[in-house]
Parts: sequence; structure tokens; C-alpha cells
Amino acid sequence: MSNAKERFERFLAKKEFIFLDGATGTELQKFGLNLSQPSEYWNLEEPQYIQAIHQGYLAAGSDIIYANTFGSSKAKLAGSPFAQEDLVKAALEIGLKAIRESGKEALLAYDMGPLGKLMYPSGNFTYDKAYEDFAGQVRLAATYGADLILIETMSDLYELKAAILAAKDNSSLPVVCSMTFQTDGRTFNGTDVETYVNFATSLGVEALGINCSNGPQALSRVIEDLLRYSRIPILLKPNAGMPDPATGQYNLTPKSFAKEMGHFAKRGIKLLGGCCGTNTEYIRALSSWLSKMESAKRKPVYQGSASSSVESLNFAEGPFLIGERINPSNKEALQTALQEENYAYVAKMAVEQEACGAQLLDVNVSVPGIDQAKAMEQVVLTLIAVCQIPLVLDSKDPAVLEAGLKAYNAKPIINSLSYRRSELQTILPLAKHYGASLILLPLSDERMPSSAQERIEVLARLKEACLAAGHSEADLIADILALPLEAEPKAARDCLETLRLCQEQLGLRTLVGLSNLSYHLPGRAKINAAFLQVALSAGLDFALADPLQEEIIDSCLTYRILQADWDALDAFSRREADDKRAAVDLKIDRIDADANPETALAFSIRSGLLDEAKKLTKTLLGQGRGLDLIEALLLPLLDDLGRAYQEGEIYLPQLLQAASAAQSALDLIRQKLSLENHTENAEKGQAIVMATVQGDIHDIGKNIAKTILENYGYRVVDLGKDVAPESVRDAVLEHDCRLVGLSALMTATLPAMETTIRITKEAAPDCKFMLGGAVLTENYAYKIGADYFCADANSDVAIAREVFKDRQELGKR
Amino acid sequence: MYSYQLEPQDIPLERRSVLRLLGRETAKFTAALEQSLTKQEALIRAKSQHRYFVCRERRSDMAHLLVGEDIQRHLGTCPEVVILAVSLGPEPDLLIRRAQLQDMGEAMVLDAVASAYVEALADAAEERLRKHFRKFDLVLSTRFAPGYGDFPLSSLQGLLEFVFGANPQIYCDTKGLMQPLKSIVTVLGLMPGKQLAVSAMTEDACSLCFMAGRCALRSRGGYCGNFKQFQAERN
Repeated sequence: MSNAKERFERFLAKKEFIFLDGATGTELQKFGLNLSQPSEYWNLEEPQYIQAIHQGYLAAGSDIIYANTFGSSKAKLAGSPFAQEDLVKAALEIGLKAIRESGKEALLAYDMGPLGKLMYPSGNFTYDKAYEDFAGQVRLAATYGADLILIETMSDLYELKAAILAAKDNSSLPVVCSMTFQTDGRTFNGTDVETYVNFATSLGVEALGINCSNGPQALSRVIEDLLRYSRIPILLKPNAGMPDPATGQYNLTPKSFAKEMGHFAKRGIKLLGGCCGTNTEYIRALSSWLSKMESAKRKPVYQGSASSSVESLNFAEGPFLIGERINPSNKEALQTALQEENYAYVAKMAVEQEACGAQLLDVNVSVPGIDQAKAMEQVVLTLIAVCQIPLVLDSKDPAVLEAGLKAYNAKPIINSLSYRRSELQTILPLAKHYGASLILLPLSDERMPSSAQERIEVLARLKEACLAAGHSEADLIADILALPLEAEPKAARDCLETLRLCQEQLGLRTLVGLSNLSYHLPGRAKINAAFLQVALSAGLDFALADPLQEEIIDSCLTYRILQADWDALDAFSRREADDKRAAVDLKIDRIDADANPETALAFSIRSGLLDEAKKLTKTLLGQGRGLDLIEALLLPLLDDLGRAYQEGEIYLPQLLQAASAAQSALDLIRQKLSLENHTENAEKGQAIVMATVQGDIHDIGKNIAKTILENYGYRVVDLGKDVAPESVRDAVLEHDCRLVGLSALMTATLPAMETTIRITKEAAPDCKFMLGGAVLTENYAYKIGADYFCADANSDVAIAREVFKDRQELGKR
Repeated sequence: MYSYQLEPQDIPLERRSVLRLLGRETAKFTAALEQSLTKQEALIRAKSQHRYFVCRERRSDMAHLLVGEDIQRHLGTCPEVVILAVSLGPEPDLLIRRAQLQDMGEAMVLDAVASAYVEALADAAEERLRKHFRKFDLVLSTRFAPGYGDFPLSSLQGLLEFVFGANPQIYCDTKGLMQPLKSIVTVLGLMPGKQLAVSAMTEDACSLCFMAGRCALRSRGGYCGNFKQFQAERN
């Protein structure tokens, strides 16, 4: 521990309560600060007022004052007439001077606020940019004499992570953090208190808490959670209640504020102050009210966790299912997707597993020949945009792991750490630095353990190494090491024995990789499910398995039902009722039992009944039907649906659902006839490039058009959103493409459309452009060089037919 | 900046407003679509933020942002301005992204429900504010947002800074794109009295819209603002 941190610990221990200061911005307004400019300018322009505020709070009882640096980030000071360094230096000099002149033993905190940018995945601001900005501030804070780094008013866990790690990597100062919560117990970005507390603690802050938002009593739910979960000192710096927009007055007086704070202080809050609406009177009242109070000593029990950015999994509330499918081993399609950087494919795998009941997702990108660190980073960034369950980062390569750890916006699990020198030197410190929980694998540089007891001995050494490195024991999970039964018939028994000894001798949570056990055996799902039930009954905490295997999900649910888990009973009942649900719950006419399969198939497609469409297609294929189904039934049906949509008879979602049902039928027909996938084997010149133009991130319209085109058998090269004109041009040249679809939802981005068309046609004069988007008019589209205007989602098909009129769609190449 | 909480039950959502966004008010309303709408509405209500953010300023302090003739006409002689910001937060954006991976039809319904819901949230917040100000003999105009008429999108960033100060919850890029996507920032006039005495506000808000004269909605007798309700109140 650094000297500064030891000093801070001693400082906290000296008094029952440590008093922070109150609001600064509103106090400066009384001196005439104009809110149209940053208050930090007054560090140079009107330092006497900053000094007066500090002096006031010190006299009122503050032990820690916040330097006037809340908005001192490069992001917020862009365009400032003053250099960031000058403003920070002045702020700290003023604060240190105020403390010297007060004669008090007080500390000066470098106040580090949010950057004012929306972090990925909600926005576009990256972790790296945020980290760099915070790192620059921390270096200045350390240079110019701050006693601690105080990160406050955060609402985004990813931004908080960047700030904490920037602070820890760039100085030896103690780090305290504070987030802003709403009265419902979550930040604006959805993070709950438990997730915040567990993650910030695992990243190594010295104290944590909440500030702003509302008064103490209104935030009682949040404060209760802080008291329940935090193992380190707690900070509480709320507002003076809520202001009335008609009068501008806050509803809590200094006395009522102090009283409400006192109610929570005595239950174990260490650092207390006020935020918006408070002033020296509030701090004086607070320090007076608490002067004779004692604070309870809390001893919350931590039981291990992993989290997404919004919610935690408490390891004591298992067992948990980890979805294993994002692992390229024996999965050719996933290998291809990773090679082609088709991360949307991986996202679909993730969403599918989550929908089936996975509570965490294992992520492995081990494909030879690719940049695996980049793949891990991109997969993690893709998954956090669509999933809200914790990730398990699966790699033995420290560079790959670190890429994933940096990209992840919460507390992950690392799969795995073994007792090998190289891993102890690389993976163990990475896990500590990024606050990850760890799966411990009982392997070492010596021989493979041949018995359960030998595994336990390796695990014991691993546990000791992790504890020495500062990990919490509760965050360690022992892999009980399932070997293939085919190679080791006693594998299952050894696993169960390892599990028992883990619990008895090491007190660690346990995990098994189910698929290893049944490798190469027939009836794998049944073997996995049977072992799972036995292991769960023996106390297994985590199972790494395939959630798309119904036997696995049934096994998990039935085990939980037998443990009196009524949520599991509801989920199980819904699964059992699923087969009968579609027609009954939808309250539509059931498919006429006497109808011939062709009529019934048409009905099921029109109604968007995917499963029915698949069953009926299989029936028809069994009757010897094939390619004729496409020409005689599916194509005319899709055309009729498109007409119905354009004439206002059906909604677009109905068209899309019908198209999905048609697609499922098409896929079966193609498989049966061994037609090659038209999207893979489409000849050069058949591709349609689609993009949302530069500056625009609305992509649902483009995605709908893409879905419809693919359903008609066209190959779409989707460049995504906010696509630069040059990228469209390059894709057209690469794929020898004859048709491009561009979309824009904002008038401000229409010029980007024009540029895209112009530079692409300069390079590929024969390429046609079709434009769509709510702000586009037909006249404007043609004016900027478009060849076609898409009035609605279905127009693209007619346009594609015209452009490719010498070819037929749907696999007839 | 003042920040307040509504409850989901305070926010009525008209099915018609969702169907209009799906583009086919005359289409056949099937049971499947009904089920989808019900399911997505429940999801949006459960996963959205229900906060609204308010700031009250002197009109003269905001002159540099209230650019254009149309906003001036809308505010009439109001000496003060209220900026109202609402957002469903980041979770609906994630749900829509996720739904696009599973079922594009459901994703479309979800997107339409979310768009209608944020408008409903703004309506509910506006109504609450209007009632509150009335107690102090202050009267609030209707909403007028950057992007209407000649009120430029470039004013959005400045309006957000007034509302949120150093701690934004809604963000805006240089092109006027707000994030989270389901967010609304709007300006209302505020003046003492019991009734708005602003003749300029009798103008049809649609005449200020860039789609004036070619709006499919108006051609069917509908409108996307609540100007008619405001007129009814005044009269």
C-alpha cells in the first residue's frame, strides 16, 4: 500500500465521521457566476470566491474539501481560453491554501466528474478515450498536490471503470468513488447498487458511495443497499431534497437534512456531506447533529459475484448455467464468422443462449490465423450492446484476455487460471487489476493430477496464490475437471469426489464443463443432463453447457423445482405449454385439420407461424415436393404479401413475420435439395451493399430492408451504420456490386448520401443506388444522384428484380 | 436542473399512436399483432426510465439558443422559458438492438412502442408541470422542439447544457442526434396569469413543419402534436 493510502486510512480512522463539503456551483452563483461558462474558469478569474467557499466549509466542519475541478476534463474544456493544467493547478493551490490557513487537519480531494459523453454501447464514446482523459487529470492532480482522487456523480459503470483504473494506473493516491442513483435504486443507465459496490470494490477503491439526485430519506432504498453490500467505508453526499420548479427552493432545511442524514450515519456511514442545494449551514448542522453520535460497525458478508453493467449474480444464489456455445471448436460457421469479422453472427448466438436460459455466457475466440485479441475485443463490445448477462472470458493468452477485460463494462469471470508459472505471472495480475472473478483449473507445470485428492492439492495452491494476490476467496470458482468418459471411465466419479473435497477442504464454489464428459459418446445430451442432476444435488454451483439442449434446461429447471423454486416452476410450465401455445394463445383460427398441407403452409406463412411452417414444409418435402414449392407457392405468396403491405392491408411487422416463416420453409427446401446457400455462392455481381450513411446511427429501417431482400434470396453486404462514403465505394469495388441501398433518418446526414453516391459512381459508374429513409423525398433522392427511391420497405425487392433481371433469385443460379 | 419521477401507471399509451408509427392505420388488426403490441408495451414500461428533467430560465438568458422566427412566434410574449427533457434511458435501445437479432417484426413493433411511449412520457410530464405551475398562477404553453419549423437542431446541445449542467443524462452529437435514442427535449413558454394571452399561438403548428403540404397524416385528418388540445383548453 502506498504512503498516501496509509495516510488516508489513518485519517479515516481518527474520527467517527468524516465530513465532506457541500455544493459549490450554487454557492458560486451567489457570487455572480454565470452558468453559461464552466465554474473552473473562476480558479483563475475570481479565485477569491473559490477560496471563500472552501474557508466557509472548513469552518463549518468539513474534513475533506473538493477542489473546483469537477468539469476539468479535456472533453469539457474543449475550446476553453485557459489551459487545463493552469485551471487544475490553480484549483489545487486555492484548496491547499484554504486548508493551510484554516489550521485544520483536512484533506483536499481532486474532484473528477463525468466527461459529459455517452459511453459505448449506449453512445459512441470509447473506453480508451475516457481512460485517456481521466489519466491526464489524475497525473495533474498528483503533480499539484491533491491528497486523494474523488470520482463523483457517475451514472455509467463503464465510465466509472475508466476513471478508477486511470486513477490507479497513474498515481499512488487513494481513490474514492461516488455514483448518482435514482430513488428506484438504479442509475440512469440501469446499474443497481449491488453491481456498483461489488465492481468498484473489486477494482480496489478505498471508499465508495452515492451523491446528488435527491435527499437522504428519498434515497433510503439506495442507502440501505449500500449498507447491506459495501465492505469498505461508505460515502453519502445527497442533495437538500428536491427543488420546486415554481419557487426554486429545496424542500429540506439544514436541520431536517442533518436529521435525515443522522438516521443513516449511525448505521455505518463514514463520509458525509451535501450536494446540490446545500451550503455551509447544512454542513454545520450536520457536524453538530452527529457530534455525539456513534457509528455502527458493519460486517457485510460477500459471497462472490460477476455482473453485467446493470445486474449482479450473487454466487450464493446459484446454481448457474453458463452458455458454452461461443466457442469455435467444432463449429465451422462460428470459425468463418470470426474470420470474416461477422460479429452479428456471434451476437445472435449470445441472444439465443440467453433466451434459452443461460445466465452467463462463455466467450472463446480461439481461431488460428486471426487477430484473436481484436476478435475478443470486438466480440465483447458486440455482446455488451445486446446482452445483459455476465460474460466469462475464455482464453489462456494474456493479450487476448486483456483485450476482453478492457472492453467489458462490468465484472467478468476469467476462464481460467491454472497453477502454471506463466499464468500465475500474467493471468493472475490481470484478473486482480480488472476486478474479475476466477475459475481455477487444477492443472500445473507438473504431471496431470490422477486423483481427486491431487486435484485438490493443486487447487489449494491456486487458492493460496490468489489470496496472496489480493483476490477475495468468494470470487474463486474451482473447475472440478470433467475428463471424457470415453478416455477415463471413472471421470464422472472423480468429478463428484473433487466436488465433495472442494467443499470440505477448500470451501470454494465449483464448476463443471459438462460437454467434456460426454465427448464422442452417443446420446450426449442425456449423459450431460444425468450428470448435471447428480452434480447439482451434490452442491455444484456452475455448469458450463449448451443451453440449446432441451435436456440441459429441463435438468436445471427440474432441480430448482425440487428445491422449491417457484420461478423455476413457472418457467418449466411455460416450456411444457409451448407446443400448444402458438395457435391457442394467439386466438386465431387454428389451421384447418382437413386442409391440404399446401393450403396450410400458405396459411401458416401468412400468419407468421414459424414452427408450423417448418413442420408443413417437412411434410410436403416428404411427399416428394421440392423446387416447385418455391416457384408455385413461396414466391407468389411473398409477392402477394408485399402487395398487401403496399396497399395498406397489413402492417410491416406482419410482413416481416411472414417473411421469416417463408425463410424457414426456404431453408428446409434448400437443405433437402442440397442447394448451396445462395448467400454464400452467389456469383460476383449479385451482392447488394447496404448502409446507413455517415453521421446517422438509426439502422432499423436498413435492417428491415435487408431482411426482406435476404428472404427473397439476395446476398446483402451490410456495412452497418455511420458508414463513411469511402467505405461504401470500397465495398462496391470489392464485391463487384451493382446495387447499393442507402438509408438516412436525419436531414443533417443527407449531404453524406450525396457524397457517397458521387464518389462511388466515379469509381463504379454502372452501380445503381436506391435510397430510403423517413426524411427523404423522391425529388431529393433523384436530385442527389439516386437511381431509385424506396417509398417503403418492400420497394427494394422490385428494384432488385429490375437491376438483376437477368438472374433468378433463391438459389437457381 | 430539476428532476422528477413519474410512475408507469401515470403514462397512458394510446394504441393508435403506436399504429400510426407502424404506418398502416387502416390495416387489419390481427390477434397476433395485438399480442405483440401488448407484450412489447409491457416490456417498454418495465425497462424504461420514467424521469423528466426541467429547467426554468429567463428568456433573455437563452436568446442565443432560441433561434429562428418560429420559436419566437410560439413563445409569443412569454418572459420565461421552461425546457423539458425526457428519455426512456439506454435500456430500450439495447432491447431494440437485441430484438433485431431475433425477430425483425417484433423489433419493429418494439421500436414503434418505444417511440410512442417517450411521446406519452413527455405528454404526462408536460401535464404535471402545467398543473403545478397553475397553482402559482403561472401558465405554460405547448411544446416546441428544435427541428420544428426554423428552430434549428443545433440549439439542442445548448438546451441540454441548460437542463443538465455538468451532469448530462441525455447527450447530443453535432448533427442533433440524441442518445439515448428515445429522448425528447422541448421548449415551453411560461408567463404569469391564468391564461395564455398570446395571439401568435393560434397558428396551426403543422404549418411550421417541414412536411407541411405533403404530410400523409394530415391528409387523413390526423396530426402529430397536441395543438388541438391546447386550443380547446384556451377556448
